[in-house]
Amino acid sequence: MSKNMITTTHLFRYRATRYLLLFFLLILGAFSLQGQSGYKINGTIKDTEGSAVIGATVVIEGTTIGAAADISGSYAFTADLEPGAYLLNISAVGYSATSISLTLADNQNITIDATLEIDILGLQEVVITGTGGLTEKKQLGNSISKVEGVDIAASGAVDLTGSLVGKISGIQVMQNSGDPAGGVSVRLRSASTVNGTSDPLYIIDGVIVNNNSNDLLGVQSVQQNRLSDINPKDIERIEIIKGAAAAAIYGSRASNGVVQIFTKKGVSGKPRISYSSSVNFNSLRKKRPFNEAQLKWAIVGEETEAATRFDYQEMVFENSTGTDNYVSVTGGVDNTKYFTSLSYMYNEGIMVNTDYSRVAGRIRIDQRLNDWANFSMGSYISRSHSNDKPNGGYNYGVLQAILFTNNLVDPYPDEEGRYPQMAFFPNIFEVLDKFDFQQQNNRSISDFQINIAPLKGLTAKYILGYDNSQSTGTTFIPFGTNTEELDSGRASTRTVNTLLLNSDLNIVYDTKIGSFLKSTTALGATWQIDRTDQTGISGDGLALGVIGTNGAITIESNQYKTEWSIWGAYIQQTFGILDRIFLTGAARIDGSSVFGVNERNQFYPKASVSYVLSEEQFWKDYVARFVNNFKIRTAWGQAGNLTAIGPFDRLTNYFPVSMNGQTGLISPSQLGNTELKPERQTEKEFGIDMSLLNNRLGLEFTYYNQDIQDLLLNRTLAPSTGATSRIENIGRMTNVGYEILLTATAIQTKDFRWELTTTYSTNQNEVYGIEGDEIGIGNFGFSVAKNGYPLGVFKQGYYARNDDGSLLLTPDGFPQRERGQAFPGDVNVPERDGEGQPEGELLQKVIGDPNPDFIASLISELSYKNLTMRIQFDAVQGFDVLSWDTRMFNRFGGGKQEEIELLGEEPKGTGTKLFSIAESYIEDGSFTKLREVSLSYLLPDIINKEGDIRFTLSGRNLYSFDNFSGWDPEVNMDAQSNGSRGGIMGLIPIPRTIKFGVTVNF
Amino acid sequence: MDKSDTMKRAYTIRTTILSMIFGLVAFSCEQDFPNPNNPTEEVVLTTKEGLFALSIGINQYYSTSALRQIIEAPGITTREFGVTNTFQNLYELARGGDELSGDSDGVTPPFVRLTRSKGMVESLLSNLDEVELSESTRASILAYGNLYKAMTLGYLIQLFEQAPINNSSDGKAIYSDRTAVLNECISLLEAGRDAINANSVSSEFQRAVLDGNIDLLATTNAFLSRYHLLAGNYSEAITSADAALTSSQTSVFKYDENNVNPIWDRTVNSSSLDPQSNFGLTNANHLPEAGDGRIAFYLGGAKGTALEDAGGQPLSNMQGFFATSTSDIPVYLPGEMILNKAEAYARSNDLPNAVAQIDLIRTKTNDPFGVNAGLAAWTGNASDQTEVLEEIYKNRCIELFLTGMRLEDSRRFHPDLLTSPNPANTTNERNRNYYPYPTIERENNPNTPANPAI
Repeated sequence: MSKNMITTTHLFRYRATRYLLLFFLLILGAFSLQGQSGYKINGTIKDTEGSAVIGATVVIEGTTIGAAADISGSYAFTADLEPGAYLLNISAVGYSATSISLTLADNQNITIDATLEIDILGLQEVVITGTGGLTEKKQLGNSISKVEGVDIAASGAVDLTGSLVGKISGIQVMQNSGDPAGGVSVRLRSASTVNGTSDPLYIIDGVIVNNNSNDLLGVQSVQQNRLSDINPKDIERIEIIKGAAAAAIYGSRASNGVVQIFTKKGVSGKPRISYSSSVNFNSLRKKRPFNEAQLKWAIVGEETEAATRFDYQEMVFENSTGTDNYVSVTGGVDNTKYFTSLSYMYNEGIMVNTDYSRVAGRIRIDQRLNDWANFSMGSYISRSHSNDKPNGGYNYGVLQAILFTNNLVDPYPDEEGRYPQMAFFPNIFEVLDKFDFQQQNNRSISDFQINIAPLKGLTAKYILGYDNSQSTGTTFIPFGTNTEELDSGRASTRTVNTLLLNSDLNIVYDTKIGSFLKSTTALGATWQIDRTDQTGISGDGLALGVIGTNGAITIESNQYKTEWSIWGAYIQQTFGILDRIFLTGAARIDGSSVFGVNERNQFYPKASVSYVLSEEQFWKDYVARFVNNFKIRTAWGQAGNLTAIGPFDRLTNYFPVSMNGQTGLISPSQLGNTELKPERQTEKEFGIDMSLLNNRLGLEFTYYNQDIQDLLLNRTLAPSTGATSRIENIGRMTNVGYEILLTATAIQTKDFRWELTTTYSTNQNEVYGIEGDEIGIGNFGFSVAKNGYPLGVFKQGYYARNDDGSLLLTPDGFPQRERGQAFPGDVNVPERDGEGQPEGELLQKVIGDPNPDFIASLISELSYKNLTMRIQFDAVQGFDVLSWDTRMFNRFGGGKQEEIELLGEEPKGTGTKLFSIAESYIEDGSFTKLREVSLSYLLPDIINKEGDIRFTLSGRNLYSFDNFSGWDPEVNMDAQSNGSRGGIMGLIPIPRTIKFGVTVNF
Repeated sequence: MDKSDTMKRAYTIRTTILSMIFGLVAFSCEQDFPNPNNPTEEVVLTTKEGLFALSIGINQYYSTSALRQIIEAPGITTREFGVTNTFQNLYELARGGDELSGDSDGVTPPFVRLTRSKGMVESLLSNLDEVELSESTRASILAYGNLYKAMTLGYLIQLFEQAPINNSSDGKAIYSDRTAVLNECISLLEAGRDAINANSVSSEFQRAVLDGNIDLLATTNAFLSRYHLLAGNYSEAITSADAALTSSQTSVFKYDENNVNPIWDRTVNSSSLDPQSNFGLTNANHLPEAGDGRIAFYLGGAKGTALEDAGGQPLSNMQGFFATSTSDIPVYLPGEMILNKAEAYARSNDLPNAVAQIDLIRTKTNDPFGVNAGLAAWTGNASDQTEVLEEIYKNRCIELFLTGMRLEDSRRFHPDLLTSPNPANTTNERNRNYYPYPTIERENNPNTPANPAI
């Protein structure tokens, strides 16, 4: 039966290819290209201050004919249209859009200039995410955030997600490692699942892209996420919607929000070249305090003697450099526009012998086929390579070796080249010199899009998206190192290939009903597929001179393939009443092969209202002079998440076993469940957007409430079922919070401009429905999902205390763990013996929470003539870190604690006691970082009066205001893990970076 | 635009939109993807190849994961093993008594792995009629499945007061008492025996599954003998034992580098357990006699002592069926058949025949596995039933060392050894009669019986 199925599948694929070809031919055949000899339209777009509005788009309404303004604000295009009356729509980011009537008659050359007004709230900005078609922001009942490409390019971050930090409210961007290839986690509002991922859905130019994190090296903490393949310099803008209320039309994969990225498009005119080059210098921001007492124990606890102590940090960290070169060429004639770019980035890590490089190229061609159709095709190819070193808690690693070693060991190799063992870890120099860990990624993302505007008000867009990533991680520990258990050598290769395909059709129809009602109807359908192949091979006991597994004594290999699909369709209807009240309703039907046949098709509705009060006459008459713009909005919606289970987890999957040359099958301990359905988030959102003080001050406030039901969790079964567990839709999670975005133009004159942006967001997360009250989710089981608590709180032992809260010490004067009796329902009753000392079983409770109380940022941008200065502070406050670093440095001789004890400031043994009291190594991770400082100077009109040069000097992660004892509170041992956050052990801190760059445009 | 242009335009627009929809539809056909990594239940249970593969899997899982628990847990409870590691599960078993609760990881794994093995066998048996098979292959699978089901069920009832005869995926499996469970074991084995006798084991099944390692008929008879004896059907126990003894083939579980001998792994290859010296026997009546060849067969030189709070008994090196990672473990020992007969005769008060069997065991030098006592005939009081039974018990403890029988035997021969309450004890002959039911079973199956008093 399965054989038949495979044949049919092949046939289908073959047919699909043929149909696709036929389909392209049909489409191309459908366009009869007409001669272009129409009206020449040109003009200049300026703002109220008289500055050119670069990149303003000018389009004739109801057509695809138009152009973008160049650096001097000028635009020009040719329109082959029938004579008559038309509207010219002019829009630009940060300005109110405007329409100017245009009459095409005898005069073939028409000049239309326009002045645009600043729109601090962006109410007139046009967005597309979550709406199906282009929609003005004022119509939206939900919040939407936008980040401009220029801000991303200016941030100096090497990767896209890193550059989003602090730019919008309600986003938490967590850089999980300071390794140059380290991964990043993004939370919009909050986590929304226990077992799945809470990272948003990423869409680049209509292509749903892969942002998987794969453990390619077998080192949990050194994992990239695939968005690192994307060069942020190509980005034109990013739109972000944060939850189900906005994202319902994206169906079963949207409950974490959607980040839609638009890359640059071609601009008509003669070729324009932009070249930028930068060099950056990375350094360790802060050294961790360590044992610098030049002493050791002669008699432990009693007598010391002189000794040499080594500074290992000095040996493994270094100042490093990086370069980034980027060139783009754009141009086009009337109907054809292109944009191409090529980049090469190389960045060294602050740990010796680590680096990351990425070469990438992009091309986009936009072709207007006639006055009602155009097509666009884009392709992005990148290849990255990194040299990594094992680090992070679960395995051997350089920084762990430092944490566990009494720094009396001289780590340098002896005369015979033998590296001394450091504690039970490989020697740091041996790892740095001889352990060869690499990751390599090939990425290709392509899209093919057709846009048509066949009738007035009707547009349709078809997108075919393709994203292929090939990732390979190789590790090699040569034969003959001095590391116990690894001395016979070990090598591995792991490859993950992922193909994502999406095929989307969106149709939008705008019409006016009577004089006051405007209707927008959007219809869409999608089909998506995800295919992943993983293969791994590893060998122990390597042959001399072989960098790999050939000839290894034991070889293990494994393979895993998955394939799944999503299909869906939605309809969204918006009514605009008097251009001030907007009612939107939408529904999506969404199916996924991941779930059982009966639960596949899910229904996700949404509804929203937006009311622009400031459009009312009474407001204009009486209030507008104080509050210029005022909009209230509310939205409700549902969306799903299906990342908590794999494509085949609903099935009862037998496992192959082989024994004595026979191959057999055994039944699994996890039973299948064909009744599973996606996790479902219901979100309510309410918000106010307003601008004050003559549009100088903009405020966006949003309150939201998310209720996520049907979380997919493992449920224990009675063993007499023959199995031990089954996945069921039993969990629940809630998020409640609010977000504030405040934008102010403090000073604005022709030459001088000072803008301030501040964001503030807070969230309260709670988990319910966990069977047995809690499950361990990482951090060696210390991070738990526990009913009634935020996801990932730390639960472990705590100090015995006196009634006044002071520590109850042992008779020897040491701190100790609380003991007593634990009753169901988390009731701990401490018990004391006759001497008043704790007795009974060791007690545990929730001792920390890695979820921040609030996240805030402040961005100040000052510009005087051509000089711009930008400063950004990011704050993440009120979160706990489980610092394994602190724990190990308490216990082992290389830490500050041992120094304290050697110097007699605390009794010998205090550190050892602290080691076993988890509360002692929970630290406040709150930080405020000086994230970015940049100074840039633009030298205009340098080449042929057209080009310009910009010099930028910037710094990133320059300073951190925090009380954290370790290197950096921002990183995470479980890398991109969803629920296991805030664990730090032997992780490379995020470096301080100084960058100097030059950008030339001509 | 003239009329034809308008029509042409309308035509091209229509074509384009249709093409777009067509493009979408052309892809949207695949909604079902078979799992290429693992076969699903449907694939396994509906083909002959699937049933054969499951049969192999049952043996693999039983002989590695389940057998470890069958031998280890009661082995600790009855002092065959000494505990050398502070692992909580081992320690709890060594202390036993009222301290051993259903939460213990000492009692949970035996229950989990036996019920899981049993579940696989039940899947195999319940789908036998769904697949087209030759009569002899069907008979072979039936006999094989019934044997494994009887073994898992039998070992369950040796460890727990009641057992679920059939697993239930709704989490409400029904428990049956010892008599019902033993009767079920017996009828399963009889059905298997009759099926083979009517059809003989198919050569296909022999080649693909048994691989010459297990004599299905003899093993079925051997376990029939065991369960008849436990059920008190003494004459049937003797008949079945005789039937098993007619086979010249031994039946063993075989191991390889990837599936190592589980008891070797727990003793020689780990610092958790070692066999106690003198087979853990301390009562003067049960101590092995000097010159008993079985001492050297099972036990090597001295190997320290057990942890003090786990009894502190002297330990020996592991030999016998667990000496190397790939040593075969017998499915049953021929010596057990002789001892079953001895006991059946003794309990039927046919003492001369019982003593004849005892002498057979004591003087044996031709055991196919080499378990040879090589002693002189018994010199005890052949007319004292108690003394005869004690001699049988002693020989069962030695001959059947680490076969998972000691708890059952101790309970049968010395039923009144323990009374409730029963504080933890690390040196008694045994510290529990039956294990408490695992908490995960109790919390998820409302039909879980009350825990035994002791």
